[in-house]
Order: sequence, then structure tokens, then C-alpha cells
Amino acid sequence: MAGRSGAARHDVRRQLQGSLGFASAGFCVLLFLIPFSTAGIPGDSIFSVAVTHMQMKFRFIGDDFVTAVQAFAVLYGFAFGLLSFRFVLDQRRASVYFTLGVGRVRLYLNRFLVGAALLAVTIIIPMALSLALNLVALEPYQGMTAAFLYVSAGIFVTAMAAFAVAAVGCLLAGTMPEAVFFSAALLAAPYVLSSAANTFMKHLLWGNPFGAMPFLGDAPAAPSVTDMFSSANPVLFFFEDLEAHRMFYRPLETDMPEKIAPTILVVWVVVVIATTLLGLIIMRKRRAEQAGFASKNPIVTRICAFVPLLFAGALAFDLSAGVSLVFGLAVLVVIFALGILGGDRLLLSARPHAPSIAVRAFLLLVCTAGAVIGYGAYTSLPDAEGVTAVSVSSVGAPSYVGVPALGSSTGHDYYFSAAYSFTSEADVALALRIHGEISDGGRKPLRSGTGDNFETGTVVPYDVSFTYTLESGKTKTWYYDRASLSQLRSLLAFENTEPVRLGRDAVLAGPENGDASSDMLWAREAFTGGDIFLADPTYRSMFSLSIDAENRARLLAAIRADISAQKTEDRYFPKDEPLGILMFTFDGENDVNSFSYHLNNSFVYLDESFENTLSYLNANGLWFDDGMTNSIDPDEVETLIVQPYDPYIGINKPSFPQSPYFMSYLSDSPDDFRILKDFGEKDIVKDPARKKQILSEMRSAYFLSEEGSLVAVKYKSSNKWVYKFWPGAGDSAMNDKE
Amino acid sequence: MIETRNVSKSYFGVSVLEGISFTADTGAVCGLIGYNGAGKTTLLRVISGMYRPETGEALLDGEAVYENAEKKSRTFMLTEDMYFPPQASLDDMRDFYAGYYPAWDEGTFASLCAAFRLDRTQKIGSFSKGMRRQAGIILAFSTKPRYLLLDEIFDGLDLSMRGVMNTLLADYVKTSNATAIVTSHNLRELEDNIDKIVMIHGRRLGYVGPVAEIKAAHGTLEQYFLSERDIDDAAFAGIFGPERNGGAAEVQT
Repeated sequence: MAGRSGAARHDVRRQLQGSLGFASAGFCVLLFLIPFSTAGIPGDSIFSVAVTHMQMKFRFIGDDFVTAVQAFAVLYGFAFGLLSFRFVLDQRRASVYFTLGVGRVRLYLNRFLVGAALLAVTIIIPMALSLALNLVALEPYQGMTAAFLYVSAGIFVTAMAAFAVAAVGCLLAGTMPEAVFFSAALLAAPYVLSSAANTFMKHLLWGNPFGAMPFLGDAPAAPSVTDMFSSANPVLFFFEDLEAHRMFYRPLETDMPEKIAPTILVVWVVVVIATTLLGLIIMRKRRAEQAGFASKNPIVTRICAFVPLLFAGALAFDLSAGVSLVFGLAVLVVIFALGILGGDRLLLSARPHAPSIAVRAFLLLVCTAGAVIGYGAYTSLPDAEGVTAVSVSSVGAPSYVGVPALGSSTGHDYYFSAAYSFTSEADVALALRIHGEISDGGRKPLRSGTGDNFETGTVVPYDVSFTYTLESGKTKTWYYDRASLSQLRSLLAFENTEPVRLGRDAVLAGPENGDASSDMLWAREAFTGGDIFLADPTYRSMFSLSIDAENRARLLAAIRADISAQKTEDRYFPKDEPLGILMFTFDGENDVNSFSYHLNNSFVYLDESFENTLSYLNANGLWFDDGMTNSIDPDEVETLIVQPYDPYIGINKPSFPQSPYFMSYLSDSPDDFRILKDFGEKDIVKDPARKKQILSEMRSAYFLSEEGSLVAVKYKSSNKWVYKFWPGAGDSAMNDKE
Repeated sequence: MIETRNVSKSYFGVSVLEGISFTADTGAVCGLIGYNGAGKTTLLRVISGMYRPETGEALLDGEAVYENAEKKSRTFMLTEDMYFPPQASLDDMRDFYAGYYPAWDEGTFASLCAAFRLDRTQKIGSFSKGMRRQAGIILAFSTKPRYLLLDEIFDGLDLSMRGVMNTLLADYVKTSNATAIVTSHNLRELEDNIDKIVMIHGRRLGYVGPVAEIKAAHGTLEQYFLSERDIDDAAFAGIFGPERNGGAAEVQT
């Protein structure tokens, strides 16, 4: 016969029996995701030297399975919690269990302990198998055991957190669908809250860097709010540590695996215990009659409504304000319809419920405080005195980018993203001034300005960021995904600063200063190792220059000296055409056909100020006075087409940036403008006087921050079209249309 | 003895029972009657310890039953729609209940299964409604409860089985010194087999007393029950058929 303790033991046995099937299934999945993933997959096994390279010291989970393990741990614990406590959701089952000679506390603890035990066993065994495989394949290594214990504990605590939340969900809900939805909403709430906050910041906070993805690169300007609060997210808190400690591939600089900092795990153990205790209290208070009835708990219904509504609302807001307005109206209609139907389903509880009112008031307070503090934090720029360094986006000529950069080029279009760091007081002050102007300007829509407003009113997609390092050592970043042409122009002010000059010098340092491929300055590669071509600005004369390494070094030294002395205004807004164009390229065979810039070549525009370079070329027989000219006789021109410079002239609005520094190029087509006007007749210039004017005023290299026109010229003697930029508003060529 | 003291219960703000106080004596069967939705099942669930009353308490031999594992281990409530896990047989249910009830009697279980001619290995899910009821009865008596709560005791049972049930119940209560409370809408079967009547009317206690008193005053339990009803028969007249006017049926064209 069973006494009270006998009944409790019987309850444990029954619970174990009932859970074994599910636990076995979970165990099989974890066997695949853990030991099999690291040792059993052909081509990616720790038993293969081709994979380990004798550098991998241990790996418990295969490289492609980390996310799956994390996700499964959450789902496994979640489902197990629902399975263990589903009896309270069915009226008939609840009737049985709540009339048995086992108290509610014992019922709860038995299920919790059985769940925890089975989760622990089904997690630790696959991990132990993985450890054993590692010991056989790779031999024992320092830190291996600690990592094994930590990763195992982390996966277990992740599963237990989900289990505890699901248990609470069941105990507060009335039906299984409500329990699933509510528990999922609880688990998702930290993510939803943080991502919604980030969405609103992205659109409402001008300069918000959090989670803002630049156009280039795969890292945000600053970690997203979700990432920042991942340690408070039951789904994500261990993911970073799982990735960090599940394997060790020994780098050159150390033989020690990354040190384990178990703080986050300890915190979450406490959270799980607290949630367990909360569940116990809820179990004692639960009304058995709630089984089978949804929407009877105001907290549950509000969270079930709030979390998905917030998620969907933020998604809609991210699409557009208009979409979110429609969405909001739709929600209101639904709510009123429910009210008309008389349902107290989602948000229309007639009875004030003190705890839910308190929770709502608290949330409102937190959101408001967060918004006010966040807004204040990001509308106030730091004081210059407190700034030790500032990093600013660069917009200058790509051939001289003297810092590591990311770039993208297609044909003659290109865009690069790079940032220089400044520490002097003057440079910091300059950065703050320019930053202040951008910040005060506010977020403007992407569109063209007109007339006198062209420079300030034309706003284009662009990555502009300012990162300040403060005296405390902290950094603060502002990121802007667009800028007006005048704002981009203002960033050219940094061209005269010491760091930019030093960067240019490093790019043009020459092969004697080391292998170009070993550093991050991709602009340097072509200078140090590419073929060299010289053309006149009309592209009717082109020459291949053959020089040895010693002479290349001299040439680059001359260019370095000339560029250092060149004024920014002359480089980006030249009054005259250059005398010659030097192209350094690794693909001369193809590049001579277009002479257009892309990330693998570099260009130097030689104007009269390039005395050292011109002197060197002349002295070494590398300048050809007879063949080279920078002027074009209108009689030699067969066709001259003009298109107003307008980033939004095409049918497809630009969604990806283009670098504003225009460099001329050749093409086989008259429709190869940098920005293509899709409809309308071409503006073909016929008037000789106008032609002469344009031919004399168009430029090979120009910073596109002002009104002007893109020009395509075809000579009578050539099949190629030469593309240039004609600065200034100029008269329209409309009268010359055919 | 089963006792309720001023028990009130509400569901999500709606009052179902108000101030119910009565006792059911040891060694006796108490009948709980009332109209549909009167709160009979709710009261049984409060007495079983399943529900927590808003006010008052339910006591078993002087001890409150709510969260009293010892008392609950001697109580069995046979609900109107008893839970049987899918794929479970009588033997499986035996395994379930035997561990929870310290007084479980294997002999009683075997004897009742044989008497009712139910296959212990067959899945209960394949039983008819009446057979499932019989399965519940077998399990209820096999736990040898001191407090037996039977909701809709005759539901699903044929005439002969109802007689068997009455006999089993009367014998069990007398020999085991148990206390039983039963509910049923079959008042004719009930009045001959219970010692006391408790009637719930309009959420409150309508009548408590010996069956003999009611019979003396009203003739039968049915007549008493009907005399207390407050249904307006006229509201139902003519909804589907011709209007009835005294002894003639008036056909309207």
C-alpha cells in the first residue's frame, strides 16, 4: 500500500514514464547535433587532419550546428515544460490530478524535478560522447574539461529557462493554445521589446547607430539593442558563450582557450530558480476551474496581445509610416469589433485589474524614460574637452585611401567606406563642427534639391559615421545613412589633416616599404605592383609605361610629394583639365578599354601642380608631348550628349550609395551614364559655341556636390564614348534636341 | 462525515454557490439535487478539494479538505465525464490509481471487473458510454475511499446496472463506514436509495433533510422537485407544433 510518500514516489514514477518517450526523442536529436556534428560528417570531422590542421584542439559541436543547438535547447525545454504541466489545462485531467492525495506543491516539484533530470541526462550524455570523441581524435588539451562542463551547463540552463517559462505559461493560461502562445510571447518578449525599440530608434533618432547596418560590411555601426540586451534574453543569453567555448582552434598568439567568465550563467541559474519559485506560487494559487477556458487571466491576455502587436507594429513601422498607420487603424477596428461582439478577449476587460494596471504603468514609465534619455543622449554631442579621439567617414579620392576600407565597384560605379581617426584638438573640433551641422540638419528624405537648393537639398544614401573615444575610454557612435551633397562636401575638410596626409603617404609608400598585400590598404596594391598606363584626358593617346622597381619607387615618391602639396580644392574641384592621367592596374588588358576606376586599380590626375611627377616622367622619357593633349577641337566631335546631374533622374531611385568623386571613363555605349535617365529624348548638343564651351569646361575628375551635367562625347575618329562631368548649372541643351 | 460550512463559490466573478452549509453523515448516502446549472457539480468539486471556495470550507471528519493530501487520498470523486488517457486499459488505470490510493484493494478491483464483465486489457477508449461509466465505478470502489462523491451516478447505465449500482453503493457505505454524496437527475432511482436530500436552488440551499420528510409532504421526490421549479411552460408552447388550448390542438392557418 502506498502512503503519502508512496503516492509522491508513484507520481514521480508516472511522470518519468510519461516523459521518457519525449526525452528519448530529444536525446536522439542532441546526439545528432552534438557528437555526430563534430565527428561524424564527412569533410568536417575532428578525425580529419584536413579539418583540424593540427591546430584544432577541441570541438564539441560542429561549426554549422551551433545555432541549431541553441535553438533546439530552447525548443526542447519549452516543449518539455508544456508537456509536463499540460494537465492543468484540460478540465478532465485537472479534475483527476487535483483530487489525488498529492498536494499541489508536490505535483509541481515532481514535474519540475523530473523535467530537470531528464533534460540534464539527455544533454550531458551527448556532450560527454562528444568529449570522448575529442579525446580520441585530438587528445586531451588544457581547458578542454572546463569548456565541456561550461558548455554543457549552458545548454542545460538554456533549456531549463525555457522549461520554467513554459511551466509558468501553463499555470497562468487556461487552454493549451493559450499556454503555447503566452509562453512563446514571454520567451520572445525581450527580443520583441529590444527589436521594436531599435526599429523606433532607427527611424526616429537621427544618428542612431544601434543595429544600423551600413551599406557595406556585415557588422552594424553599433551593436543592436537586441545584441546589447542578449544577456537578458532567455533565448540568446548563452549563444555568444556557446560559440566561443564549444571549440578551440589554436591561434599563433596563444595556446590557451578563451577564459571562461561564468557570470552570465550564474545569473541565469538564479533567474531559473526564481522562475521556478514563481511557478510554485502560481501553482498554489491556480484555480482548477480555469482549465479549458482561455482569456480568463488579464495578464495573460494582455501579454498575448501586446507582444505580437508590438512586433507587428514595429515591422509595419519599419516598412513605412503609412503602413503602420494602416496597421494601427486595422487593430482599432478589430478591437472595436470585439467590443461590439461583447467579447472580453484581448484588451477590453471591463474590470480594472490592479496588477496589470501596475505592470502597464511601469512599462509606460520605462518606455517614456528610455525614450527621453535616449533622445537626450543622442541629440547632445560630446564636449570637445572630453574627447580623446574621433573617427570620421572619408569621402575623398579612393586611390589615396590610407586606412583599411570596404568597397564595392561595378563597371565604372564604385563606393567605398573608410574612416580616419583624429586625435588633435583642431581635428576633433572640426569633426564636432561638421557633425553638429549634420545632426542639426535632421533626417531629410532621399530626393533631389532644385536650383539654389541643389547642394543642400539633394540627399543621397551614404554611410556617415562619427565615433568618439572619450576620456573614460568609452566610445560613442553616431551613424547616418544619408547625407546631403553639401554635407559630403564638408567632409573634404579632413583632406588637409595630418592623419589623412599620412594615410596617403602610406598608400604611395612604394614596394620598398613592404609587401602591399600584407596590409589592409587595398589602394596601395595597384601602386606598388600594377601595370602603369598614361593617357591624356581626351583618351586619344594612351601609353603603357615600363619601369623597374627602383624607378617605380621614385615615381611614387614624386607623386607623394605632389599630392601632399596639392590643394583640396584643386584635387576635387579643378579649374582645368589635367595634363595626363596615370592608371595603375593589375588588369591592363581590359582596363585600357575603359580607363575606368574600380577597386583593383588606382588613378592619379596630373595637373600643372604635379611638378615632381611631370619632371620625373619627362626626365625618364615617359612623357609624350607630341601625342598628349588635354583639349578637344569641337570639329573632332561627332556627338556630344548632356544629361543633368541628378541622383534621382532614373526610374529606379538609388538605394545603394555611389561615391561622389567622379572619374572619367570610356564606354562603347552612349547610354552608359553614371546615373541613367530612363525616359525622354537625349539632350544632344549641336550648337558649335555650346559644344566648345562644354568641351572646354568638362572635367575628368570632379567631386559631385554641385549642380552640373554628365557628358558623353564621341569623336569622329573613334567608336568609343568619353564620359566626363561638366560642373555648373550651365544652359540647358534642350534647344539643341533633335 | 462530510460537512460544508457556508461555502460560496464563483467562476470568474459569477456567483455559483452562496452560503451552502450541510452535513452528510458517516455510513449514509446523501443525495444532492437541483436544476440544471444549480451548482451540484461545483459543490462536489469543492468537497473533493479540487476547487477552493471563495468563502467557507469543506470538511471531512472535521478537517479541511483543500490541499489536505491525507484526506484526499481517502476521497474519490467520480466525475460525470471521467478522464481516461488515450490507449489506456483498465489495467493501466489500475496501475495509475493503485499508487495514489493507499487503500487500493486488488481483490475488489478483480471482483468488480469480473462482475461487470469488462475486459481489463481492452482500451477504454473503445468502450461504450455505459461501459466507461462502469469502469469508473470499478476504479472508484477499488480505491476503498472513505468519502465517495458520485456525480450523475446513473448516467449511461441501463436499468439493470442502475439497480446494481444502488446495491453496491448501499453495501459499501454500510460496510466501510464511508460517506457518500451522489447527484442524479433520475429522482425515482435516487429517492429509494438515499438517506438524506440536499437541494440547491438559485445558488443557495433549498432544502436539507431526510427523504422521508419530503415524501411525507409531497408524495415523491419528483413531485417535490417539480413543485419548486420556476420554469414558465407557456414560453415553450407553440414553438414547433400547433398551439394547445386545453385538451384540443388548435391549428392555425
